[in-house]
Amino acid sequence: MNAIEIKNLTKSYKDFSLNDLTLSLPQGCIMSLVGENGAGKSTTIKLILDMVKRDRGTIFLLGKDNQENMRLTKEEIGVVLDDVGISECLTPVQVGNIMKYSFKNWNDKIYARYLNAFSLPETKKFKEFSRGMKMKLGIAVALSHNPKLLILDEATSGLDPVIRDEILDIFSEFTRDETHSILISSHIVSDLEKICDYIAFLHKGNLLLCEEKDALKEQYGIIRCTAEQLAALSPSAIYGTKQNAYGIEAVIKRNEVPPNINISPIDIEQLFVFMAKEACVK
Amino acid sequence: MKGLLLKDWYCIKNYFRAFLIFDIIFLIVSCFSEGMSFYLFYPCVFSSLISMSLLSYEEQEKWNVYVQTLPYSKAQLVSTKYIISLLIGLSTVFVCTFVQLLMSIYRQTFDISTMINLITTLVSCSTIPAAVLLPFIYKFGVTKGRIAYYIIIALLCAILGVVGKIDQWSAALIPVSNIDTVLFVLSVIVFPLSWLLSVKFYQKRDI
Repeated sequence: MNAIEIKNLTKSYKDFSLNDLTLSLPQGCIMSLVGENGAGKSTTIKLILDMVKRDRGTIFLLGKDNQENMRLTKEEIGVVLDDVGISECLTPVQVGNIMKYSFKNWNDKIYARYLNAFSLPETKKFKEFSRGMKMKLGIAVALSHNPKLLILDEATSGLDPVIRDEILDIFSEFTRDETHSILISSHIVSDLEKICDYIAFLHKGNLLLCEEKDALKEQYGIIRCTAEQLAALSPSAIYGTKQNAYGIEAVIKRNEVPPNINISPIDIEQLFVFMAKEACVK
Repeated sequence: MKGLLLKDWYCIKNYFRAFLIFDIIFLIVSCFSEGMSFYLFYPCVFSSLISMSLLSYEEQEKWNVYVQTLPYSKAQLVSTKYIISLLIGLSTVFVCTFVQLLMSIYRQTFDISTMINLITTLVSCSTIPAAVLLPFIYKFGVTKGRIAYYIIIALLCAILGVVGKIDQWSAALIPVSNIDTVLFVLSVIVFPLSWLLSVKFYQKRDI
């Protein structure tokens, strides 16, 4: 079963539209939703959670249509938003009390364990927390009601590398259970590359690609060459190019390039930048 | 919905201590004033506006977005604010009525019909402002809804001022009891209608 299944999702605003998005996240996997600011990541997440009304398309979460009894489906979903959104005057203990009466499966022991593991002071107000602490509290809440699906919108942005690493470890741990899945959006691609199984590139409301991370790395590579060497390659092999003072950098499809050419592995961030630029040119 | 009510209770305890102080001041002033009832209207109007202030804080803190991720329907989110408004409003009416009762017994001016008139007016004061404002907020958001807030406050002050004067001039022109009854009936009709309207507006609104 797919944890998330989206088909032909469309939503138009005055100055932005998400066009015909189709993707699916298999259970037990982590999918990264990558895109520049304003690419449509948050809109996609809001549509998934039925916070905004779609114009067209279907969304299934854990096998259930998100237009039908979403309240029950949300019992199985943990969400962390960029701004977290917990009221400034609340302490972690009070947040726990609120959630205890909100989620049927709320587990006080798990919550206390996370508060302890994250070194979060139980009686300090949320407004006195640092950004990292706020995010950790959001994550503690999201993980304490036995969710099957985590949806994380820019949950690692603005955090220092040590905390980011800690949090990414927790997410990896979460998906050890094969019924657990994560959809995580970010524009910090290097973070996502560490943990994700699937990558979806969004650019200006369009899905550029949605594939397994390892398949992408196998499929694409990067070469550094001269203009003449590049001209010798088949145009269909070249995905994108970038010229600098030392020559040309090109993203190529590995299987369409002669074996004598030295191909370097490409990281997901490079691939995304090339694809986004290429999409702009087109 | 218990979780949402608990959240609002925590926020009220934190953010609205000043309201409590104002209420106490007005109650004390009302005890030493001849036109007592006029000073009792203010705590009731304040209490009615607490739910609107809560929504303002929620928008500022992005709780209004976060709460959409919790297992609640939009109808429940709206209903919480109406329930909070009713609970605080009616508690304030109870306290104000109790103070009035004690003062009238002390002054030996107790009159059951005056007391009933007072209660109906206070109930109206504690429900009508929220009933009028909340649909605006659920339709347009707090910022635009605030414009409606200032208009309503100005109107209420004007109405209360007129009612207060009438009270002081021994109701020579219009029987105050009639105004009380009209306001009370209005509040009983308008409050549930406003509740339904807010739910409809919020269900259609993108967050």
